[in-house]
Amino acid sequence: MPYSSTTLADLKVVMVQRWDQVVFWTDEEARLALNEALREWNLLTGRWRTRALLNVSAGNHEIDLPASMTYGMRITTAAGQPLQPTSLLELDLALPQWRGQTASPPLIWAPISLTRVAVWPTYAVDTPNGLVADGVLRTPVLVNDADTVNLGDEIIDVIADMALHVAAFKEAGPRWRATRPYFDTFLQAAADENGLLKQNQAYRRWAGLDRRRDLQPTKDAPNQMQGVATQFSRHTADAQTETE
Amino acid sequence: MIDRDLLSELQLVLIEPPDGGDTWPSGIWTRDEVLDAVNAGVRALVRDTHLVVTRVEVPVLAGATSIALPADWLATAYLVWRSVTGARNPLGPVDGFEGDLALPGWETHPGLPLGYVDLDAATLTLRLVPTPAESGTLEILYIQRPQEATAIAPGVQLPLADEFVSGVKYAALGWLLRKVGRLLDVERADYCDRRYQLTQTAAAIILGGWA
Repeated sequence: MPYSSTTLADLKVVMVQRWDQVVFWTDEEARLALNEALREWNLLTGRWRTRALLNVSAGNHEIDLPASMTYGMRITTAAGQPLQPTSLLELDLALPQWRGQTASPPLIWAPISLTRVAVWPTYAVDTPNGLVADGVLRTPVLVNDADTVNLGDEIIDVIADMALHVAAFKEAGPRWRATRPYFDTFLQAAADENGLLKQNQAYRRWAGLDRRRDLQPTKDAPNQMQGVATQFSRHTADAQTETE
Repeated sequence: MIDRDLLSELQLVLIEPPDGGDTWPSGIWTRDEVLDAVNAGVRALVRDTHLVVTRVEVPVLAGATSIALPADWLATAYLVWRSVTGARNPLGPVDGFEGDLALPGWETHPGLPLGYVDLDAATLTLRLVPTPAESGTLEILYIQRPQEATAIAPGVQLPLADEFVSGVKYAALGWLLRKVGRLLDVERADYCDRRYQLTQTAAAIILGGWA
């Protein structure tokens, strides 16, 4: 049963409560900011899920996902056996001849694009409903004040804060800067909700969490000679300043 | 999301009256300029992330030294060489220099293709390395040039799932706020670049199989 306790109107009120002055946004701006926060949340956490049966045609290793799904997260056989996720590149490197190989059941899946996946090996005969895809639903869009948000209360605050940060963008300067920690909290909450995100190297690099390479650089690493050279150049600069 | 809705959203952010992107009374940006920014954002995102790929099969004759790419080609995602017997070989991206080092004479000594060169020859053509000794079929997964936003009423659907629209929004905003003019704002433009990169990173993780 979906959550239905918080409405769009409630979220707008929460946003207003976080601002101790006359608000600088309109109702429409608040709605758009809240929808943006929900979209980002779904992108980073895949919060709204759906399940669909996939038909596999004989020998075909590429399968389209249904239009209701934004992207696939997990594939299993009809009997519930999970397929291991990988990427096309890894499949090509490990099994160059994987395309078109048939056996039952499939063991590995890889996303080709958001709406298409590849499986290895594929079924040798047409197999209606041969696979089950768990994927992420399109993010619900809030339009009317009475529309409810299908999220738990623990996330509502994070969404409202993020929406405030989005709305404050137009203000620029200190007012917008003051909301930057809300964005950081939002990202932290998303990483907590989606452990895969926190572990992923690409995300860690984006978030500045992978410090090992910075701390142990393999090129242009500072050394003692460089320190001495820096001191000399500073002395030279000081001497020049004194002369002037 | 409809392109006019996104333009209205940009107008609100840039403190212009929201009307689907029709008018920009501040005079800092023009309608065409904003549309260019949005379209550049869409193109950059689909090209950088390979969110949507299109499949096409191209028959190739033995000894072919130039193969025409589809007219709406934006980038190559994956290429597979399929021989007449049905055996498939994935092809890797290389350039002519790499071909010369790995397989000297790759143009004149045909063999089983191992790689492809799509940026060394004329535009919208590619070459196989080495030149194919036998006829076969190229299975091409490529990034199609996305439909451009025109913001003409009633508007058209953006060629991306809604979850990725923020990437386009912030790519466009970053470009607009970096314009040398009265509203130049490097701090917010840098922030916009980071938001675009966040969408790009999320797409890379999703399409990398979360591995």
